Amino acid sequence: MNLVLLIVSGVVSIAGAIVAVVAVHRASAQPERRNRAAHI
Amino acid sequence: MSYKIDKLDRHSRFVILAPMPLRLLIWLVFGVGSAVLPLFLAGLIIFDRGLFTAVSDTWSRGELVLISMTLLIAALGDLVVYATEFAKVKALMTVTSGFLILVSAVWYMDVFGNIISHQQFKEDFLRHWSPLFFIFALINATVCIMLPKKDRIEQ
Repeated sequence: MNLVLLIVSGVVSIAGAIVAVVAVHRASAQPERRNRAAHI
Repeated sequence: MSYKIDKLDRHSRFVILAPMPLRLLIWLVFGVGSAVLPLFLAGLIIFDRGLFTAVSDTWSRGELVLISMTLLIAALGDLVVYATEFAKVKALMTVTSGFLILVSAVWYMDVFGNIISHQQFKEDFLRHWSPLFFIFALINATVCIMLPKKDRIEQ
């Protein structure tokens, strides 16, 4: 039971971190892309 | 309802709106550093008394679980209080932090309850696996701190 909770905690933590970092990275990359397109 | 950060003093404003690497550094030094410090002190005492068998002696009674819980709550507070433009990410991190806080609270209450009633507690599990839980909690808390904040406080 304890190990199951530990594994679930790990999955939740790492998956949450990956989703958060990807979402923020994508959102911050969008204005750059838009600027580049406008420049071209 | 929100308060503009302009109303805050210069130092508070600097900490909230500091660039992400600086916010992380402040978090690591003053948050994580001070939370882990009692482990070093406990290690020194154990070593001084001649009872030292392994480094895990310092976290064999659930100390790392307790530290994880306090770090997660501090990081969650930082996430919840300040406004951010990433509302969905904020909601996700609030849920994951809440789950980890719940797990750590249950584990610590279980261990502490067994210790004070002189019953068998899961010492081996804590020795071997609580550092891993601490790393998971640290990853989650660090992402909460890293999330960009806007210049206002949510009410």
